[in-house]
Amino acid sequence: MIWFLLAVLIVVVIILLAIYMRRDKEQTLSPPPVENLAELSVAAATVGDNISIPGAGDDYANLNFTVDRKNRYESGGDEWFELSGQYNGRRIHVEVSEDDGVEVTVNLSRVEIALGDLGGLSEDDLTRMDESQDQSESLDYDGSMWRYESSHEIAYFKDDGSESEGYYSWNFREQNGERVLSVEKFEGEPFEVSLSRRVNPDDVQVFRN
Amino acid sequence: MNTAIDSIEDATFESTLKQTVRDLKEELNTMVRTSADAMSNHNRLEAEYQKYVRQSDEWKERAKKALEADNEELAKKALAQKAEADRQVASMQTSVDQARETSEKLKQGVTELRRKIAEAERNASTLIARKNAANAQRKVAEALAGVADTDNAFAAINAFEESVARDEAQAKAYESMAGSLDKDLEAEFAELETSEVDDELEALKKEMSQ
Repeated sequence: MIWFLLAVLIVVVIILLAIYMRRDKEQTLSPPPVENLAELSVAAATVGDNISIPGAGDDYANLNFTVDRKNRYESGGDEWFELSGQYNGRRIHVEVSEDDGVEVTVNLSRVEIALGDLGGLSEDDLTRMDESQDQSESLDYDGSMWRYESSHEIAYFKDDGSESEGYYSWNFREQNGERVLSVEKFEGEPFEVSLSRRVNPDDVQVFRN
Repeated sequence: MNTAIDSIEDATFESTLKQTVRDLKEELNTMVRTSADAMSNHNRLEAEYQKYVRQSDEWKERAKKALEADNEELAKKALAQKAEADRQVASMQTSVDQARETSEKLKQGVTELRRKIAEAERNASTLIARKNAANAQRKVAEALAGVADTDNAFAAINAFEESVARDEAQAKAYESMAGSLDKDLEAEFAELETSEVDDELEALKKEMSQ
């Protein structure tokens, strides 16, 4: 009788040990964490991804586009990139920088703005602002006051390539607003003005296949 | 053995919950991929559609310019081109609308599933925490029950101690009994020896008196 009980006990111990060892093995070979495609940050977006930003499109419609270009920019040790694609029959740009957290601006290229539209801003004014870097400077446009923020030379790497093209850029931020005016000058080209709007990076959804 | 079984049950409980959340995330990824496909399709169709809209506008402008230049024939050709672009716009309209609707539905589905998964993850974490808390409580209860067992053990030891004391007392009693027996025996022998001495004394006296 004692031998029978001892045998049963040994069998039970062996079964428990086997379960333990299998569990340890399962824990050691635990599956890698699932790639979370639903939480992709805009900072990780690339060509082929689909971008969706609620309320950032024309007349506050949802902005949806497929990224077909990703350009890189460098200036004074800072680096940022631009996602570009077709939206409502035109090319639009979403700029993404990661200085103090992610910052995203959307340029819908909706209206063409001339330098003269910016409250009579002249080339001499831009030269003066660049020399003084005085952030108390401002201009008037579209019923708002725009504060001079910075001006610097920027290296533009088309399609994130190795060849760069330099240009000069002046940035103005809308006071009490979310818009940014950029005046850009490529060598041998006329001044270009673009209007962007800052959006909450958390609102940007990236859909990847 | 109970501890081992409990431990296995706990691990199974936690891993099952985690696997369920992992499965949901896989499902979400599939939905995101499907949604990305639908968005790409919609964006492609929309771009094509916008191209014909733009062409229609451009042919209209050309027709205007031709009329301004009193070139009615050229204006008619431009309007014929515009009509072709308009036909393309009309034929694509339904496809674009359907693609937009599908894309938006899938995006909403992704948002909804993401919300549900976040909720499920929170619930899973809460369940695991509750399970761990229950296990901890059970262990405390078991430990307290263990204190009761030690009381019984101390009582048993006391009983043993009393038993030993009893044995020791008995032993002492037997020893003392054994001691008194020895004394009696020695007294008898002593008496016996005394009588023998007296006899020898008497014999010696007789021998000397002869």
